[in-house]
Amino acid sequence: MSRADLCRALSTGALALLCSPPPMHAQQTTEATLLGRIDSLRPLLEAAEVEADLARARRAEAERRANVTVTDTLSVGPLTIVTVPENRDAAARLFRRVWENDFASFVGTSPSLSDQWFTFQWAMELRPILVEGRAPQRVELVRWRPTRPTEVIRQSIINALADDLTGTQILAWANAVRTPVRPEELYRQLALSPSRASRACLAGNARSCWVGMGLDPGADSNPLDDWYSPEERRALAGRLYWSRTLQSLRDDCTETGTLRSCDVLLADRLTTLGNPSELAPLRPPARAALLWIALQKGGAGAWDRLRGDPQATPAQALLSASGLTAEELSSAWLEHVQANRPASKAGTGLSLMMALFWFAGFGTLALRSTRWR
Amino acid sequence: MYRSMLFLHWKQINIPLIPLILAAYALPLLSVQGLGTPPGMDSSTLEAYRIVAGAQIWLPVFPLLAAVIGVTLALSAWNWDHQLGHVHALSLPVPRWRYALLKMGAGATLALLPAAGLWMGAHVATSFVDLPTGLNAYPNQLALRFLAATLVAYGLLFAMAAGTVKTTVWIISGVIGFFILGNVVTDFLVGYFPVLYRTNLLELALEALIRAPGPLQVFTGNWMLIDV
Repeated sequence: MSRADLCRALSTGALALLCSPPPMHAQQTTEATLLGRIDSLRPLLEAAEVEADLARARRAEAERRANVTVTDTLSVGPLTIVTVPENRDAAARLFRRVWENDFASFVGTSPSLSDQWFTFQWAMELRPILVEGRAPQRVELVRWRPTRPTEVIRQSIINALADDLTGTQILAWANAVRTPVRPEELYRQLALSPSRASRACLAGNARSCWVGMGLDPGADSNPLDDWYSPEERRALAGRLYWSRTLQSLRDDCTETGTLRSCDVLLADRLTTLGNPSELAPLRPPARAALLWIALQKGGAGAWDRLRGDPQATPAQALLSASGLTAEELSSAWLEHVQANRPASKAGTGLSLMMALFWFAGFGTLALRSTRWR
Repeated sequence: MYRSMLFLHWKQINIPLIPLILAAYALPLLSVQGLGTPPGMDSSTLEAYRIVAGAQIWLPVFPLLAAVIGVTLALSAWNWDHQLGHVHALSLPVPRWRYALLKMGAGATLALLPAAGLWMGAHVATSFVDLPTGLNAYPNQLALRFLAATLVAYGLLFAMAAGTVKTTVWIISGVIGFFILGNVVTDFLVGYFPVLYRTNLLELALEALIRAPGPLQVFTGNWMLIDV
């Protein structure tokens, strides 16, 4: 065999060896080996991913810290305020004004306030203020927007204070602690409320105001009867939603006008409601105003007395906080509402003066021409 | 001369103005239609809510009618002059400002007629409704506001109509253009003045017009004939 023939034979043999399928057991061994090697890498990959996550978190934290605004902390009464240095004076002035005007007279101690921090910023462009380990009440206002900082501060302090009342009956009754916002709306609510108690209250019977807010209607009397006249009860039952099981009673009440059916329906609603005062005609805004007036009238320690007994009924809590009788407290509330009767009548006053001013202004423009058109 | 201007204006406008005076008289009556105490029911506070809610439906019609009357008076004031090329005015021995003042005074006097119609209608309407405790009728104040709104609409259109048609078209086109392109202009300005971010020029302009001391504030606010 020549050298060339030997080479050709070897090449052909090598080619045949390459093209022939490998034996089955060899193929399985390779696959299993590969899978085993891949599996052996998995813990390494997982560890690497954890490391990468940690590294990313460290970098984000470092960036956040690098970007965190320099802050000052100051105290006004029991309030702790975190602010940017350029707003320090404004924060002190505004928080002090709100605290002294609205809260200092009746808030003695408040665990929620002591625990709560406030952030304050009033700038053209807001920067992030970091308060470690806390969820502060934020008073952060863009300066050019028409928001009154004192109102936002007042509401943030109230929000913090309200945590003291969590779980109490007084909070469930009033729904919120707040300053009497838009007192003229209270007057409108009182005047338009379809209830005999509201009507008597508006006519000057302070006791009816107390009853109309669902405060101690009396053990023997039916509160519905105190709150609403028969026609008003019929109308109220017609307005409420009733389940199918009570549909026949509802039809009897609204379509045939049987007052007895209306009373049965409303009595059923009273018993199923956790808080019967929900059917009382004077609603939460009126009640929140009464609560606020009770605190103002109560003076020093009123807040402590209000939250002193968590089991107290709303009436007990209000009387305890205010130090007044029910008659005196509801009279103070009624005075407040009547003093804020809306100046809603159309036409007169400044509005008319301005209209005449504009009329004269347009007239002057019409006269201001030197040539005939 | 004032009397003759008044007479001329009245001659121009009496046909469209008379239905408007009747509408001003009827509007308060319509706004209290169906209100009152149903038979067998005392004057309950159920009525208070119903009366106020019922009257509120008609609220937008009062300022709208005032505006329509004002515009009608203003356009009719200059209509005759524009049509005849100001020949009559030029023939009079008075300066233009005095002529325009007399003309404006005549129109303002005529504006008293629909306001008086509304005043009478409001008094008649409220005399039919037995108002529950806490509600009051304000016919005099409503008539005053109606007169003021009519005068503002009249003054605005009178000033525009006193100029040339070209000036009027420019002003009206400018206002319409601003309302259409206001947001685009805002977006453009934000590119140069980032502080305007979240500022809506259109909203600001509207606020300036309809809030005190804006010229159109008399058209907003409370137009209730019966209120607390």
